[in-house]
Amino acid sequence: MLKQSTLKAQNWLTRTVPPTAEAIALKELGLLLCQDTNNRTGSLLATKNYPFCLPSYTAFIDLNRKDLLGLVQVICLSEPAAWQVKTSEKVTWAKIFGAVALSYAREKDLYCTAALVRAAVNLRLWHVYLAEAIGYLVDQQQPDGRFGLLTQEINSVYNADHNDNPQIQEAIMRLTVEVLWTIVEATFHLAEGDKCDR
Amino acid sequence: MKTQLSLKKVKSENGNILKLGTNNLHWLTLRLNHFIPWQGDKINEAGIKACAELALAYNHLKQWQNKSEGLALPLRDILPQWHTFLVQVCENTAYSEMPRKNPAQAFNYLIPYFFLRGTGYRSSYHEATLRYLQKWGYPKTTEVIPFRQLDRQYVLWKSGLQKRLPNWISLYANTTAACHRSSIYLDDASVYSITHTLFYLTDFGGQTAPLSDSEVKRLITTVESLLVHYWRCKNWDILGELLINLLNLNCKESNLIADASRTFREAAQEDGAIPANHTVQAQLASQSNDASRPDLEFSYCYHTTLVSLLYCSIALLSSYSNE
Repeated sequence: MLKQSTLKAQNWLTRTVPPTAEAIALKELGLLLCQDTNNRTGSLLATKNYPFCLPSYTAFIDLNRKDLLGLVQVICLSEPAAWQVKTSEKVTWAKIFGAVALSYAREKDLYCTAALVRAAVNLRLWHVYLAEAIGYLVDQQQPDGRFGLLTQEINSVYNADHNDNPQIQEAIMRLTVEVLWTIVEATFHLAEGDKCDR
Repeated sequence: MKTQLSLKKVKSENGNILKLGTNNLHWLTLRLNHFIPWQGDKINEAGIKACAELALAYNHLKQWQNKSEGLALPLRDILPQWHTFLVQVCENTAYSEMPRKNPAQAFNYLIPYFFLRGTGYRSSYHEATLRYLQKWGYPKTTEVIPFRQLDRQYVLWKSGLQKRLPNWISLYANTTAACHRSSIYLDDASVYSITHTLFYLTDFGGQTAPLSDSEVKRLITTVESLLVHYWRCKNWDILGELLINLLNLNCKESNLIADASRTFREAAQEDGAIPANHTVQAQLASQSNDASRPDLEFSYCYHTTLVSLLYCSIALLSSYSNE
């Protein structure tokens, strides 16, 4: 399921002409992630050494979206072996990362859901909630391969063709690469049965 | 960090829970008049609902008082006041005639009587009304969704009108709690369906959920994920209901649940009221001197304060049982 999803995203990235310099960089990153998955090298995911500190459970759940994204993005770039905690604590953190990811999924926030799952996968955390969240992310892929509820929402707000708007194109590209990155991490780091509940 | 709480911590938590429960009781008792289901000569739906919920809490606390005489909450002083109030509502002529005037809504009008009946009170007028309603085919004639069907059977059982235990398994089978497979797509109404289904199945802590271990485990998985969601969204009303569910499903106490419980308790005002959510909490804080504040505060706080009282009583009862 995850490989199929990656291939569909790769096809979309290949076909798409990015409208801005940032979108071009995102496209390149997305294609590199796909190649990494196809060649099973994991080279893009290997160079990490950012220090991070998790707050209390309560403070983590209470973080606003911006601060939460800031924290999980640092975790995504950190070395999992450097995170020294007891197994019981890891079990609780796995549940909390998963439950907060599902909470953002309930709000149709793919970007935050994907970032939380990716951070959890990087910390080698696993819980049934995370499988559910990955299943949810995969379900939001559009027939042409990009990800997101974004297209539908943009159409309803602007009542216009989003293909003409470079900012919207860039946002779709960013969201697609964000989810794709999560799927690539899950493909590499999770056991076959744990990856997705679909 | 330990996953299981130490006994010392449990006892200190109990002190906080007892304090909150006591404050909840006093806040609600001072506002009994707000629970009257009519204003002037008009009966209103919100008032009927509030009075029914108060009666449910009365029924639960009365049972608890009988089981654990002299323990903790000041029920001996307060429950007689609630009893007098509920009897006055039930014996109000205009209100008591409503079920015969509108049999389709009779069940809702009679809920305060049903719960009082379960504690031994009887009214010959209401008993006659119940016979008429049965003859006219009510409440069965009014079709309801699965969790409301469970609700109806639960109330009839608690009233003593239905002697046999409801067929919990068959009533449960078609509810959202039984049918859902993911928490992502559950809206607030569906979550309320789940919390209420679990209230009835466990009789608010009076019985073990009549479900298999694997089904209980599945429900705990859902309830815990919803707990984190409503905690994050600062919806104290649903958070409180989910905490009750976890207690009644005998979910192992953990730091996560203890933190959720503390967060819920911290949402309480000094006087014991708990606003339904963060939005109304902010609204109340900005209207501290407004003349309409008492009514607004009651409508925003009464339900969550009742939920909190039930949570506190169930938590204390379960803690005493364990000791």
